[in-house]
Amino acid sequence: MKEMEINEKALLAEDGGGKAAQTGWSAEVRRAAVAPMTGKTSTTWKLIVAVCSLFVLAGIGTWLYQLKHGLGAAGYNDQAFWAVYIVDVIAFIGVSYGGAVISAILRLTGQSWRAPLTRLAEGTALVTVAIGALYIFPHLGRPERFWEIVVFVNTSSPLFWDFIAIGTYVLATVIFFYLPLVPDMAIVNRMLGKKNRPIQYKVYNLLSLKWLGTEKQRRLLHGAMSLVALIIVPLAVSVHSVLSWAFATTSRPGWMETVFPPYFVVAALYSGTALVIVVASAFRKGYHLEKYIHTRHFVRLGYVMAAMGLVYAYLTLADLLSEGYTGITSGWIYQTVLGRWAIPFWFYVVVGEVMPIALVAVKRTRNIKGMTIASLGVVISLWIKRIVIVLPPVTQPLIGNQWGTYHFTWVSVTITLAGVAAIPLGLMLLFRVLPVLSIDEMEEMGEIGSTEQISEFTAAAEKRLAVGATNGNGHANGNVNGHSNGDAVPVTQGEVQ
Amino acid sequence: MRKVSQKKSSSDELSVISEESCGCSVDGQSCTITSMVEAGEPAASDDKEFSRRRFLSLLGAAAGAAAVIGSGIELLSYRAYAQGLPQTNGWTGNSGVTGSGAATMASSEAPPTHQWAMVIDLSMCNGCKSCTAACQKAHYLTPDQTWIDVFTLTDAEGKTYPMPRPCMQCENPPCLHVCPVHATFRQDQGVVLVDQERCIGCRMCMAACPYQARYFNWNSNVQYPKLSVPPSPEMPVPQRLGTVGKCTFCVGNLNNGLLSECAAGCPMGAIYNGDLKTDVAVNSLGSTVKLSSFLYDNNAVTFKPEQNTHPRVWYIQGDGQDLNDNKASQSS
Amino acid sequence: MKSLLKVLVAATASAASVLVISAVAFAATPAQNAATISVSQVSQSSDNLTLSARFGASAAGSKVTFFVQTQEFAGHGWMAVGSASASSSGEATYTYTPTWTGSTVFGAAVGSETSVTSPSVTGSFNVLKDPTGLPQSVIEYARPLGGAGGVLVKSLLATVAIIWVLLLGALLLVIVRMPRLAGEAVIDESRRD
Ligand code: SF4
Ligand code: SF4
Repeated sequence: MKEMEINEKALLAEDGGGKAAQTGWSAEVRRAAVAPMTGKTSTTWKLIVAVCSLFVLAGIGTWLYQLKHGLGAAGYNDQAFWAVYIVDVIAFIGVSYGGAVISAILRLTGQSWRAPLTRLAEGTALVTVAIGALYIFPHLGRPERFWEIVVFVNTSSPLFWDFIAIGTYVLATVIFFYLPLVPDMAIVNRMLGKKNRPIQYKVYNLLSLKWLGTEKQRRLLHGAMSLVALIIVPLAVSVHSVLSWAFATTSRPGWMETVFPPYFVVAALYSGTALVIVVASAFRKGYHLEKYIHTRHFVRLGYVMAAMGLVYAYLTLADLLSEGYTGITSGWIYQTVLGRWAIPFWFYVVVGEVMPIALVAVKRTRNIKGMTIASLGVVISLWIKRIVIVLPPVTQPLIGNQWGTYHFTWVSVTITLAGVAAIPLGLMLLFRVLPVLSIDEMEEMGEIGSTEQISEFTAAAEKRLAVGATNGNGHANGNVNGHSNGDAVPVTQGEVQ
Repeated sequence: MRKVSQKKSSSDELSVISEESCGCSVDGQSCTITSMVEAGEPAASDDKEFSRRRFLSLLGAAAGAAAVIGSGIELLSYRAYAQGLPQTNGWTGNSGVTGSGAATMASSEAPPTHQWAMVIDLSMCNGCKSCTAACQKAHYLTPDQTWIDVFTLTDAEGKTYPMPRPCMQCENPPCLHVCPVHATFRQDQGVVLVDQERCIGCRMCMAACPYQARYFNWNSNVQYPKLSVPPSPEMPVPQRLGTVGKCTFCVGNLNNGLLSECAAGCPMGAIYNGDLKTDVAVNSLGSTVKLSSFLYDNNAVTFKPEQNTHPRVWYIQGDGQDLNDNKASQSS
Repeated sequence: MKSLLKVLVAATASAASVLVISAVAFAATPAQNAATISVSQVSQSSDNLTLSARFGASAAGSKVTFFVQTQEFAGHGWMAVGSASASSSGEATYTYTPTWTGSTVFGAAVGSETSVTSPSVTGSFNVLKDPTGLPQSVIEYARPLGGAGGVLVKSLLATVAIIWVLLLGALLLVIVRMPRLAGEAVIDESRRD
């Protein structure tokens, strides 16, 4: 890649509307966001990209091998006909959902602290939904006939609706990712100029839609973004519900559960929030965003994650209890809790529920490191949890008592690892061509001070709130509009609420 | 020697008129009997005539409960319908005509002349798995591809008994409903088939089938002989990698007047091929039975009637055997 | 066996709506040395046949089983369809509903449920009612959402369509309006200057 120079003049917000523009903070944001796009990549970056690419290439190669030799190579058999790949589809689309919904909800509720996270969250959503949708291909026995779903439509098939739902969700994710990019495209073009990147310049110019940042343009963009955010929340809920119905509309004990749609939706939110934390933590470190992404971001996401974790634990219990109690079709429950899937199940309980919730609950571990470890545990154990959801019912005999077995093979493991490696790879490549922070949004939301200031401020706000509450006057007054003034105390809505 | 002309009209005329025929020497009696039948009375007092009379009371009991009518009764209900019995349970039948049957023939093309079914007599089965072997040999299946498989279930006394399971050829097949590309279809004789040239290998049907009747072509290392005919849904040889397969009921055999491979291969005569249309069932020992009476006499059941699949395969249970006992089919 | 039997058809000119086929033959069982079986089909609305078998007075009161010869599954065997008691004159009748179209061979026996002791008689019939197959109405009744399927699918597809229109509409609006707004802004500024 050719060297690119940042045009120093373009570091200042041109529209004057960015409230923090004049402080020089804006310039820093711009520099930080665009820096990874310039030609200077570190050796670590190159190394990670190389390793991840290797994994992805290995995965693609293995898939070709699997195409030739059949799905049996991936350990599948007639009593384990759905296994790793469908779990990958659910898991990757699930984490994507989490990213999109977190971003959309924060946007809809006007949480200004979201600003440094949105691009990362939406990028994660975009990359993971693409990976998740691609896992349908190794899952199918005859992927080259995939087009038939559109031609020989069977509307009574859950898979047709899966296809519709995922397709709609991908569209929404792309639009949701693109809209906030419009101003940033213009900013990037101004900063990096035409030199050395003529094609990119042209494309970005086209995509920036002649963004000038006028009041009217802003209003238009915000309107469109709110609409898409509004759509994407129920859409994501329905996508994961429809995915769950591919299981729940069969008559298999263990799958035919009324709890399945919310079960899947909450699992998606849980793991999605966790992945956003992991990604934020990694990019904060790797892309030097410490100044913008603070402990409190992690703590807040950690709270969301813990809440989801509790709901998910509750749903897991609800799923197991009723059928286990009547005992009519409880073979799979026994196998899950005490039998052959006990180890992965209890791994999920410990690493996926107890550990993260404890890390969030204990004040000492409520920091970036703690949250990152907690979310890593959640992401990994929720993949395993999905295996535990899929495999016991599928291997349970419907006649007689011959249980099926599933053995992981190098094929399924390689292909799954390829997807895992594709997340950092996709994100790093994405942020090689797009700013890693949502520049315009951050300028709009204003400067957010350093960690220390914030915690001081939070303490003050809490005190004020407490006083207000005891006075029976729960209204904390003060500077609560979404835009801070860019000077003195950086106050945001999110803080006070 | 006899010329038959079929009159497809909705009138009360005979549908078959023989040139030289006619005469009403005995029809007085016939008419009497007919009217008795219509009045719901047994035509004869002998107990071979059971099905009609006992069946009428059954129908009464089942009135309005078509959804819960399970097992063999369904078939008898068809037959009752065929015999012009009162429709007490709200069924209108295929033709939608109860009064003038002739209208059925008059409308559109003739319905298929066969509707294949199967009866498996569990009291005769000794679990030798000859059916599985015969089927696998005839269809060039690998050992784990079981169009018909013999499971071991437990009866009320804790003794085990063998239970052969072909594809049930459900009349309300969940596998068909969930197939996203219509690769699974039901041909006009009621046999559910898979088009391996269309199947995308999503295995949704395997998830939906309550009888574990489907398998998948997992591996590419299967050797198939070269047959003179290209693979078809009725005879999928060679099978396509990455698609599902299942029992085809040997519908080609049946249409050629032969028994299915499993029925022919059963040394005990436990498997009967049947035709709902002609009400005939035959096993490998050559015993020919009237399907509806056979099922009724022996209290035949379908497997998992609660699944609402309406199988075309009936089971006759031996002493103490209960196919639909949950404990037998579900265990930890 | 069939070929040995001579089938006589008694044809009497009468009402067109009645068909009688009768066969007379001899010697099948030692006990009843003269047996007759006949088939009659009465008015079409009933769709039934009456089979009658006469085995002579010696058969009075005994059980007469009626058979048809099947044509499927390589069996071509005699299939017992039902039975009746013989009257004092040794005659039994049975009402049978034909289940296949075309030629049917009938037989009867006294004291046997597997083999025919009478001569056979052949008639040709049409099946007027199509009783087989579970009626669609029943299947739909059995599936809770069976009847709602069409409406459900249409409303779901409509919902999906609305979502697509909204999403693409929002995108299109931005793509079309945004450059124009930029143009207006530029014009505004030039005016201000
Ligand atoms: S595996 Fe084939 S037959 Fe089965 S549902 Fe999928 S496409 Fe249809
Ligand atoms: S038994 Fe299974 S495969 Fe056969 S028709 Fe029924 S659901 Fe389909």
